[in-house]
Amino acid sequence: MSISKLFLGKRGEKLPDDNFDAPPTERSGWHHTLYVIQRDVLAMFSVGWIVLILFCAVFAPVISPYPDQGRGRNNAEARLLPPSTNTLLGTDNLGRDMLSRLIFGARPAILSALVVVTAAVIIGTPLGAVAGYYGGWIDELIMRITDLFLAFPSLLLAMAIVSFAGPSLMNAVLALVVSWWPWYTRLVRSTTRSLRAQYFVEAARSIGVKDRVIITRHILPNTITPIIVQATIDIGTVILATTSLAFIGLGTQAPNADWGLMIEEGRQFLRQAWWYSMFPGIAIFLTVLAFNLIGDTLRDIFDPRQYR
Amino acid sequence: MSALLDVENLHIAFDTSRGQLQVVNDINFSIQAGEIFGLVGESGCGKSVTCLSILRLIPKPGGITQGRILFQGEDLLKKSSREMRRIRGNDIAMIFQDPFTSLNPVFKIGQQLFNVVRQHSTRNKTQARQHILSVLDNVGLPDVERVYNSYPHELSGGQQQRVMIAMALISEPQLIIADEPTTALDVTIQAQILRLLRALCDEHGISVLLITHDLGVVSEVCDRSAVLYAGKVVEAAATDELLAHPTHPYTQGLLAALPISSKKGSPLQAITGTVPANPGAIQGCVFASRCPHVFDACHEKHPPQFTVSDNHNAACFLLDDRIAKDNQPEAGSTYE
Amino acid sequence: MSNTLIQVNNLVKHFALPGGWLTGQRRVVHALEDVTIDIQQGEVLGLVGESGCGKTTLGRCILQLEKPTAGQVLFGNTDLTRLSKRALRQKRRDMQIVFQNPLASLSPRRTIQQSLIEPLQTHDFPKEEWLSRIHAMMQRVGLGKQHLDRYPHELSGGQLQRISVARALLLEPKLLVLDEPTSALDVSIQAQIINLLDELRHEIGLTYLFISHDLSVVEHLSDRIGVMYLGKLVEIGQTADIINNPAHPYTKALLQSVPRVGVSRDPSHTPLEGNVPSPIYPPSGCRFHTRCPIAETLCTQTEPQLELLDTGQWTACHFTNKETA
Repeated sequence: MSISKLFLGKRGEKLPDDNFDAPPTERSGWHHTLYVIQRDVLAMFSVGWIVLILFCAVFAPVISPYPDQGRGRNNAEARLLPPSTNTLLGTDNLGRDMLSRLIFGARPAILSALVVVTAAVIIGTPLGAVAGYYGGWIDELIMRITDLFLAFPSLLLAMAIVSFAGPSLMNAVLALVVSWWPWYTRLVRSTTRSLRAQYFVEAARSIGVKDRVIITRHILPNTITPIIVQATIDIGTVILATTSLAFIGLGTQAPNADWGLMIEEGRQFLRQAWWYSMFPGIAIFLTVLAFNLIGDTLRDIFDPRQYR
Repeated sequence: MSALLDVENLHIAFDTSRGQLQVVNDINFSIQAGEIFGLVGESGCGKSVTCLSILRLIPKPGGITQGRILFQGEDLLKKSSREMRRIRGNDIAMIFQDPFTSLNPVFKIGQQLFNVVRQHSTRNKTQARQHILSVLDNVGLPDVERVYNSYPHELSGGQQQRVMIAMALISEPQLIIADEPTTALDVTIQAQILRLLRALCDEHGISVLLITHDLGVVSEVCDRSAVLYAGKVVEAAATDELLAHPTHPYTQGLLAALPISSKKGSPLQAITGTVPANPGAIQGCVFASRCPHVFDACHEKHPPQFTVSDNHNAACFLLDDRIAKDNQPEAGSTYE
Repeated sequence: MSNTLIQVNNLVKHFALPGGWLTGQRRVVHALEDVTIDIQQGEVLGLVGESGCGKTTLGRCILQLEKPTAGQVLFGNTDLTRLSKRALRQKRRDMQIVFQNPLASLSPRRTIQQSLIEPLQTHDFPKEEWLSRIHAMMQRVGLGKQHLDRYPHELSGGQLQRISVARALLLEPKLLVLDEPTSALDVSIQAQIINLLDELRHEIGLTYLFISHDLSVVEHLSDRIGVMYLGKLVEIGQTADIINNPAHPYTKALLQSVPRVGVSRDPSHTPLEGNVPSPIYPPSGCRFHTRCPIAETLCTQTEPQLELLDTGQWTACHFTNKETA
């Protein structure tokens, strides 16, 4: 139980009356955000790692030691070299620098995750808000459609799309979007339903505000917080999904760098070159973990019961 | 006669992102065996934290920074957490405001009470069941066998609160701490529950610490009461005396703000302003910013407790003959 | 005699509970059952009763925030239940509501000013008047311009309730429904809000429907009081009559249950036994008979109707009526 809960949590309890003319309290919440993060070592690590990965994705050609190899050029005389001062993380079976490959591999991971989550939010949110606000048959219709999409295995869907349109990262992303948006519809619908019963929505209705305006003005702004938390966690999950698709050959195609693809390539050389599958594996692990942890921290920061 | 519970010089503070917040500041009171003691105050006055502190249940990041809590002469703050667990439920039990959230929805009433009995006594199964049924009967529940086999949602709010009281009574405690036990209930049900608490006190000699914001409830059941404001006890006395002759301006203001029949048609006496946000930082009297009788001394230091009469004291400089002589309120300016 | 502002005729509201279609036993909450009540121009009508008695539902049905199952709500000559969505939005200007929880009544991510502009914008007030109207109203409810750019969580409960009142009054409504406006506030703040409501009413000539479980607050503000029990209006009359000579046994019990400072209770009085029955399966006959101290067989079979007593109030009870007659 947090302190603010003591003051305004329980049903029917009184609200505190602060100083009548107290100066406005800090509004941005930055102070509070920093306070939460600096108390939490894991959150600090996560932020650091995510910033690093984003930096790698954006500036890959500039910061990789061998940018041309990162893009896929072979270097046959340097096959499967162990980590050394020259190639910090070793080389792969085509002699390419692992570090450069990893840095370039951040690009499809981050890009596909951002595209999938953004598209899912854009499709899912309005549908969820409409279903939750109006209820009745509209709600029933939208929710049954989401059930339909949720029941369909995303891997199978990806395979179906790929068999039509050929394997590529683009098609893997498409398959993931199709199976991802219903989660946001559900999230926004349940948030909307609880918001709809709130007095401020009732007040807007009693003033005579149109439904459409109530949804955009009063409902959607208040669903942003749970969406941001969910989207952050989902970025990690989508990275896991796209790399998995690449691993089974349905995502990024060689010679492009992709963490999942690299693990698959290294699989045949597990005995000779442990670093081949190991480093992309660690990259995926740390990135997914960082997004999950930061999602939890965001939830703590946004939690209105702690916000005071 | 020594008191059952003695709270001395209690200070409680919470750590927040904006620094330490002092919510209870030097609270003193004592409860005798067999009496109902009322702790009255408005939201944020520290009454709920005070009662949690007695059981050492203050949630993080809060904590007791100073003081003693003597229960039967022993300081609870010096007990190990193992000893405290035995005291909670065995010697001191607690009833919360909202019975709906205090009962576990997936277990039957009987099962929940049974667990409590087995935890706190060595009774065997049939004895435990007999004991539970007799306690349920004691708190005025009809058809105790049916209640025993009911889930919480099958009972009404009043019945659930009776079950909570039964749960508190089941280990035969000496003190029950009741935090706004009737606030979530309707008035006709509230009347039943208050009557029950009074009867438990009179018949079984149990003491009750009743926390409430409602002066009506206090006047109905409490033997003695203390009025809390911004983390301090501003006045304490026998309830009848307190309500008939309030001496602290805050107590007077609270009483004057109540709508009662005789005041219909004329505006109510509201206390102007609001409770200070961080009373711990105030040097003088915490009520000074809202007090109609405020004078210089009030801003300098917090007034000590002055004796008004036997068992009646108040923390207000108006009671200090030396300081207040020149500052006595003029006739007519007090609350009526 | 003053004019009738609102006339509610035979209002019924049932809430269907989900499920039950397999067994063919749809369960229905009987929130309001055949309620007829009128609100006069310029009066304060108090509505009291315990939780689940339908007082809040009645207020919401009058404002059409809840669609009644049956019955009429006449506002002047228009039946609000038959208005189109569009016409109803226009009509909302004349009737406003203030809710119990002031913090939840204001959009958390909008400043006070944004919240106050909304009603003016919705009802096409000229844009250049917005700020002057808001400033005047803020001053009227005892707040200043400095509060306008704050967010709700930065203000206290008392301040927020003043803002809720301000927002409702900006539209210059004829009727203001007050749904437990002070029950989330401390006593000292409650007194400030009650005084404010009382002043505003006399200044502007407003009509209030004042809904509360707190009898002493209702008594202080109201001209007439209606008492509800399990979806029925059981007694209604002038405040003084209801408080001093309650006729219905439920009203009597309710009055005696309120703990009052300085009034020692009649020791012979026993509190009302039992609990409020479920509104899903309301008792037959008089709904109060399961707890009534004077109930007889007649009460379990026949439902009493509201009848005018010599003392001036209307009461729905088989026996009090005869007693006084």
